[in-house]
Amino acid sequence: MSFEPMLFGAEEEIAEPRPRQRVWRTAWLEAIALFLLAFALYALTDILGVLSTRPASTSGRMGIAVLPALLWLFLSYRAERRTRQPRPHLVAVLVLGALVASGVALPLEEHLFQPERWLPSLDFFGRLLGYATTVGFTAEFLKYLVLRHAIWPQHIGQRLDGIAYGLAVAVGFATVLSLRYALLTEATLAATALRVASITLPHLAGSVIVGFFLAELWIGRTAILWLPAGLILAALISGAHYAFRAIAIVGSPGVGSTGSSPLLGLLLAAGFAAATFALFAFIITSADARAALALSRRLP
Amino acid sequence: MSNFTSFEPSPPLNRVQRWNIYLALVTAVIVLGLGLTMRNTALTATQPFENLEAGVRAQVPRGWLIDTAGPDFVIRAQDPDALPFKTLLQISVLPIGPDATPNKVLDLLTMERAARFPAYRELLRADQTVRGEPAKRMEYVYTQDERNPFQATVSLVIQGVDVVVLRRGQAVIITYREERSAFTDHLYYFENLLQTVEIF
Repeated sequence: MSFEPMLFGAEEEIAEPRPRQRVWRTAWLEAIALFLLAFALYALTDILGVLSTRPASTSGRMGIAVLPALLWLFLSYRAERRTRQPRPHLVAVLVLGALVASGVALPLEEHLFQPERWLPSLDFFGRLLGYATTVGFTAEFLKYLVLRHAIWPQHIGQRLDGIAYGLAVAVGFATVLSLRYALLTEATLAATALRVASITLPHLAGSVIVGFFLAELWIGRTAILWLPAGLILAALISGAHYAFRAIAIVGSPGVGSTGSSPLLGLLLAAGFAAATFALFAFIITSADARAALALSRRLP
Repeated sequence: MSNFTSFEPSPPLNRVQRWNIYLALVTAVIVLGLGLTMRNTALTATQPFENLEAGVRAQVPRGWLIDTAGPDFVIRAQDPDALPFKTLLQISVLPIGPDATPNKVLDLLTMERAARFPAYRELLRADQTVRGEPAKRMEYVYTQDERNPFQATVSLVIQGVDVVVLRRGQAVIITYREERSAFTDHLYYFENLLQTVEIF
């Protein structure tokens, strides 16, 4: 009788995952909390008229901008620290995500890609492809580089590890973009919250894709173009969000409205994040179940 | 305690994983190259303009607002998305006498604008050629105030450039104006117009 310890070793890990924090619950909580906060500020300002429609103070806007990072620390990271085997370097990955956004992505966007100069003049598919192949791909590729060189593959033991690290790098990346908006734009608290949500939620969606493809590359049996396909898919998702957002937030101008629909923009961002979370949760659950079934059939 | 510099060494990768890493880099180069090509194509996209009566043919930026009904110009194209000043490209035709020179045409423009534009000041004049024909180039600045009293704003400094070409009893004046801080960045619109303009 032959015995292949390497094969058993690898599959045992999938059948009995390490006692790590499950990611989806806190990821959903963060996304929902961000959505509800933005919606509440919008309702208090634009519907109920409780909050001022004058520009908020810089400190108030910056407080809103760092809220996704605080939510992540309070929900995901705190839950992670309470497990028997917390994932290491999560905060380092978040900081690296913020650094590449600040040091590489923002300068490239402002001085090279300059999407506001040429994308608005294109049609829907032009905007989708134009954004995906410049700003979108750059963001996903930088997040991939952070994950690849910081934690991959030594800290990938299960598919959910890729998601957890992907969400951390996305939060760091999106926080820098939100801070730029908060610092440079004289906006109300509601407008800042809407913008922060519409920046953060699509980045969470894109990073779930990159994280999954990276984890699967280490754990599963993948094709030779698996990783490029994942990066392109994540970039296309961000491009699709940009293109649909141009349609969603521009409403019909009339006597009673200004022609913009910020709430639709928020719903769109939340929809992209929710659809991606649901789809990849299903894919990962199915893949883990198949692996466990295959293992149980091999065991005596 | 883990710290920022103590990431563990990476375990060895198999052939498929290594190729995925290499191909991700190749994909980045290809995708970003495609994106920059799209960007450059969109920024330099033009639409043709032709006025047989004035004898002018040119390529103007696509998507700009085109006006051909003005009394003192053949075509005026403005960027509708530009803020705070709508970037302007314009081609005008002036009837001239037999002893006119490009310098005299520019003097005439200077006198006319000095009375019309606040703080108008000529910056430089230089010789230039437009598609092989000798021309004169003049750069200038002036300020523009918001006319709507309910939109009180600081005055804008506008920088402009005119290129004058003489042709059979007419002076063709090609103009570009932009808010001063964006003047150099958007000058390529004007250079593109100069490269494509045909005077016949």
